[in-house]
Amino acid sequence: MSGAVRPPRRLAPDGFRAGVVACLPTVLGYWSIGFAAGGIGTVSGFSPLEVVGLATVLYAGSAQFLFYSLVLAQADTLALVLAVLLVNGRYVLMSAALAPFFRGRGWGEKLAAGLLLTDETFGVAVQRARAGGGLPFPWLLGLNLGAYVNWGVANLTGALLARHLPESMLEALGFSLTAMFVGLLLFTCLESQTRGLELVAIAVAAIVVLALAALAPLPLVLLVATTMGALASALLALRRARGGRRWLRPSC
Amino acid sequence: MASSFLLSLLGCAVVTVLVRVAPVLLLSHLAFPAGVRAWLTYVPAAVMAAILAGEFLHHPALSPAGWSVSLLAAGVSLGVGLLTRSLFLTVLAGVAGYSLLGWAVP
Repeated sequence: MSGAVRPPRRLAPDGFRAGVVACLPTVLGYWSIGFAAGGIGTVSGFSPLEVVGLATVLYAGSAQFLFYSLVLAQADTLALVLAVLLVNGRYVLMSAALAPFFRGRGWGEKLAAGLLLTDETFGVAVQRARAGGGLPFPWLLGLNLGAYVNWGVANLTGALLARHLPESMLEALGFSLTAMFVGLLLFTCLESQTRGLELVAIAVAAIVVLALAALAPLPLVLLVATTMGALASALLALRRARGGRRWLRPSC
Repeated sequence: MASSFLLSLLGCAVVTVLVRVAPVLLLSHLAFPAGVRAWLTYVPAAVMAAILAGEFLHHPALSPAGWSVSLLAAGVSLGVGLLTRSLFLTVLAGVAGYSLLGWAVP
């Protein structure tokens, strides 16, 4: 808690600008993936307008990659929609996890929060909410719009420029997303009241992914792994709440 | 091509908006039973862990000697994150680590 070097996570003001600042660590990731998505769109024969349309309407990296490759493979519309549904199915769980923070708030706020939900903004928002900061609407709007604008611009830039950049550079930048989830996971764990149970959820989810990866498509595996990981911890938490042994006290 | 593009885009947009908006819109009215609340508490950690595991599995970035540069760079990220508690530095360290390790690891 030696205030000086730490980011102002606990002290953060609730305004729009603070939300935009909270978005900054995700920008590198958005840019690299968005840039790649835009570039692949162009290379796959889509116009910059279509690339930007896809980026701003779908607003989901993995679904955009899938869209390009399935359209190229001449999949029909129904198959395309089902595939996107499967890839984006994890948002059901994230959106549901946000729900308790939105009790008693207007439907407009819920709608805005849900429409602009992404893996990255979800991670950042949950971390703040857990740290006791709640999710004030101007802050959330700053976070979400910051991410949205970056995504659109990155896709457009990628669509226009990707052919001129070395692939190794894009690959290294692409790793920023992985690094960001490492950080978000670490802070989620460090700030949790029940670290042991967070670790159980992490371990179970990871093991399920490794166990099932060869058997089913990844998006489906992610859904099953998330459900089971969270379920394992929830069962242990309930057991503890009912006066079970306290053998899972925090130890991260 | 143009009209089928728009139709596909529309279909994909509808399902994406639904999965994003419906839960937070519909479930935030309810007071969940303790079990569901507990389950939702651990969804963030579980979903991020699952995404990471999938990433390491599908993009290990193996070096010639068989090291996973992705895993090693994630370790660098983790260390820097523990030391600095800064998300931004964690991300920077990961990208720098990934570039350097990709070049240095046998």
